[in-house]
Amino acid sequence: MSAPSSPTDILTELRSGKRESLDRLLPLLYEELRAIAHRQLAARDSGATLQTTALVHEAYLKLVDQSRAEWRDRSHFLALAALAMRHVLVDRAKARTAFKRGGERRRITLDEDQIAVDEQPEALLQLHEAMNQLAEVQPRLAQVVECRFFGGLTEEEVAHALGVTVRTVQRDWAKARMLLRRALES
Amino acid sequence: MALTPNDWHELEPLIDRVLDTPHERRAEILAQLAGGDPSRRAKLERLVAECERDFPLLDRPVTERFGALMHGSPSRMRIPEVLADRYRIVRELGRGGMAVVYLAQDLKHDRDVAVKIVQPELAATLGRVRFLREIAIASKLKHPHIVPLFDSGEVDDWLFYVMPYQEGQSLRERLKREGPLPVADTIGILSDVCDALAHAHQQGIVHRDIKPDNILLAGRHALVTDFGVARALTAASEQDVFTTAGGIVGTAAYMAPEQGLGDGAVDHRADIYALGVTAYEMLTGVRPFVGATPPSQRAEHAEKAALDLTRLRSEVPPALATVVMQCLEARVADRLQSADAILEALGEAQLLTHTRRQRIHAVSRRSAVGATAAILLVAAGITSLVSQSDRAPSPQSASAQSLGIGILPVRAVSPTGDLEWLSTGLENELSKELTGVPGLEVRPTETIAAHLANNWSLDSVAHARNVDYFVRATLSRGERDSIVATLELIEGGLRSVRAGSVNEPPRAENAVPLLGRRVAEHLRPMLGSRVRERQLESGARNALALQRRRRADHHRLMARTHLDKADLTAARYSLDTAHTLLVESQRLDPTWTAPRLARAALSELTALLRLHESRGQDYTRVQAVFDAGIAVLDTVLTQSPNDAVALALRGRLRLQRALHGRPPHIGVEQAISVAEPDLRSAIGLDSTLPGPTADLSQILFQRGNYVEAARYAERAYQLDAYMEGVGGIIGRLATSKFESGEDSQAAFWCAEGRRREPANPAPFACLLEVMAWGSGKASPDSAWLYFREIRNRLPSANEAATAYFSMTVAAVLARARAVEPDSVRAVVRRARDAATGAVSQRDDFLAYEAAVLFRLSDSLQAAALFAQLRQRNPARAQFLAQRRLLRGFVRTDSSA
Repeated sequence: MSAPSSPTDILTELRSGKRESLDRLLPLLYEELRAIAHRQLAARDSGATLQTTALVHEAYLKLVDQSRAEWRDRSHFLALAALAMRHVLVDRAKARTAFKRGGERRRITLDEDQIAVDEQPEALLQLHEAMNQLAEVQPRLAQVVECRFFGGLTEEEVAHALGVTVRTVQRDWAKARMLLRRALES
Repeated sequence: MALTPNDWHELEPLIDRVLDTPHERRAEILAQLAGGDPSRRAKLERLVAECERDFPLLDRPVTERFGALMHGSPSRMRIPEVLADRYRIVRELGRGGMAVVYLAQDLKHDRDVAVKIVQPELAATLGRVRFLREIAIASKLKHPHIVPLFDSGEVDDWLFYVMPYQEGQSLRERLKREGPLPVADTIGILSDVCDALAHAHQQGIVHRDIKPDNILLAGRHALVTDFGVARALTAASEQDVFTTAGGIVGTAAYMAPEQGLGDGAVDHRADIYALGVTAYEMLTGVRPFVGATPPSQRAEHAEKAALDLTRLRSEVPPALATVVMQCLEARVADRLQSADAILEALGEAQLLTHTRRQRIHAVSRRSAVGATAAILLVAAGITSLVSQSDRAPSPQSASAQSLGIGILPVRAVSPTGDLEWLSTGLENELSKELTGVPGLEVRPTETIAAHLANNWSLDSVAHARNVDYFVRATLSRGERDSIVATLELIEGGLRSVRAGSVNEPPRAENAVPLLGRRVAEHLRPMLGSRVRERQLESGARNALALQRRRRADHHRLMARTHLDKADLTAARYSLDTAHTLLVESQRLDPTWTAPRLARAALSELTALLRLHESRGQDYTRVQAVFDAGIAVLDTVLTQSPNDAVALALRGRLRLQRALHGRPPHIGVEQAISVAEPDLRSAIGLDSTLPGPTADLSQILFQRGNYVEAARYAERAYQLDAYMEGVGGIIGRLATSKFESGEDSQAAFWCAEGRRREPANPAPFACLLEVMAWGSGKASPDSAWLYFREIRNRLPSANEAATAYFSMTVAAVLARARAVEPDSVRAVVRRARDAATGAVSQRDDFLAYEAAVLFRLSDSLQAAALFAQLRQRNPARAQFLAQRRLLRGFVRTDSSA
């Protein structure tokens, strides 16, 4: 049997629960998201913002449509793209904060409408850590946040990707927000 | 209000209920869930409120909230400042996945340079010290076709490296502009890059990211850039960053199939592959595999070969096309094995310009040692070799065929820490034991430990200390408190092979030296086969011939296994295959003696097969097989009369022909003498060869000179550094010691043989014979036990052998006076009847029977049987009478 050769194959495998498929797809997605982000930003004035949904969907089109395979696991793919997106941002944030390391980490106010540009890296890293803690006790809640926030997925897409009802996604999202806020404010 | 996990566990289902309830019915459900507990109700109410409150951080997509992070490139303002004291940034030249490149002015040296700054998100995931060290290793490369590294460093968390600024364009740019290149230009670029690679590979440095973007065209020359960068990124990436170096370094379309696996087992041949892809692209304008994504390309390649490029462009010279296609082989071993091999192939096909041909010629005529070293370095897994400049000019460095062995600190794994005390001792002992082994250069633990203490990676230590294999022993407790040493061989610090384990009973005294010796004994054959491999490579000039020769070796070993199991059909197939491969290897490189020596050696196994096939009857065919092998050696020796290995082999074949090419024991003593001159000449030319020494021992034994036979066997045992013939030599030691009357020594070697080859019946036979025909204690229980062990280990029902061992048991019974003489006689009778099928050994069975009867003190009957033997086969009778079997019982002078 040959190794799966396209994201579609990998996703088919993923459905059957093969963990290593995930490990193979993520680097692809990661690169793709970076490349797309880079292109989109290069095409606009600096200061333009990116659309999360557009990013993830373009990655999907690029990686999946190229293989001309029939696409059935779209939401599953999008969920993975959300994970890749999270990694892209976390890596960037780490790079930005690299030289501030060693000192006391600043506490960022997260409950405001805007986060100052120079505070974004630290804010994101704090969120990332809080999500990691959440994932230890309530993995599905963390996944819902990942899909909705990092991937820009709709509630329906999240529900399909995680194999739960839309109502469950809504409840999980509400609970996750509460728990994350508590974690970040404590 | 704190929320404990217990609270949460209890409250979560309640929160779900409330959330699912429309607002107008909330009060009702809250009252119900709180069960009349006001504080509980307040808590629940508050948590639900928090759930439904906006959380600005999460309520809009990440790209809005963290938009600044998406502007990914390093801030343009900051970099020039960072390097301001050394370099003045002129402008950005470009950016890739790994780095942003700036044109800058080197203020100190007043020259234009290219400053490359590692992408910060990548840099954040790197072990900086390691990255910079690896870059520094690559910066030692000095070659006209390699862009040198001027500088590298770290300022305020920015990682950068500096190269000369090259005017001109990259091969990528030219391909984009022009499409396929003229054949002549392609060959020029290909050979420049090969020169660069050959040089770097000799220094043990693999590029890992050869592609048109990294080949710069300056005037009529091509230069390879970014040497060592990909390797540094890989080496320095921390484990948890799946996203960066480990997975993505190297450009997918040019990556060798083995490179995508990410297990570090990538050597210089990955560069050969990448160069193949590049050459294919130069000639056709397209890459050989066009899958949409890296995994699909790899899968594509695993299943089919690339389309022959002459079908895309017919005017490509066939020889060039062949070279390119050979670089693209999916299997590492099938590829052209070195950059030099590519150059040679191009040279042979007259594709290189005159000047270049001359240069290659000069290279191949370098001093014998230099040339050997060069081929060897390229062929032998580059990652493990140190750069020339690091290598001290010791006499050892001339011996290019030796393996550097690094002894890693021994780890003790035991809950009570009671094995710690063994660790250091074992390290020293192991160094001591392996130091004397030819072909090995041992780097003791203390020379390595310092690097490890500084967190060097093993492959970097391998570079710095010239280590081919690390040995790692881990001590633990086994059954009944025994000490288990689990061994691991780590090639080039990268690829680890479990090398088995050694189990020793607990002993306070001598534990360390004994364990050290055992571990060394265990490792010597493994390391030996690698030394042999290396010797083979160093003599090979044609990669395909080498490959055929290696594959033949594999089939030879298979044949050996099949023969041991008496699976004649499989053995025949393996031998035929091995033979065909060797003939092919010889055809590919007629000047190379290795395939011919191997063919000659194969005749021994073929003869064994013929013996089996004819049930030991068809001596003509057996002789013919040996004669063919001897004839092959004759031709080798005509060309090089002083080839000690060929002489030793011819002596051996002559001896084997004498022993097996005739009915047993008929005229053997005379026939074996024809082997002696070759064996002695071989020893005279190379006194370190264990083979001829062991064979001479056998001749001396056959002549009844047991003391000398034992001496030669002992010498052979000492010489057998890699324990290649150790089973046979130990058997010879045991029997010759026994025949010289040293029974306890004999028993020791029998036991030694059993320890080493637990599945072999011979050592048990040896123990049984010592007890049967010797003068030590006779124990019927042990005898029966050995008998069973032998029978369990014989490949198939072997009547003659079973009968003989029944005789030996009878002798033990007779000696022990444990049973009635008639019972012993009954065992003897049954054995004799069982052996009637073995016509060729009928004479010997007379002697065995006589030997048992003597031990039963039935001298009359015994003497009668012996007289019968003497009448039928006087020479055999004479020979057997000298053996312990009958010695002392019959008079050996002819008047008797």
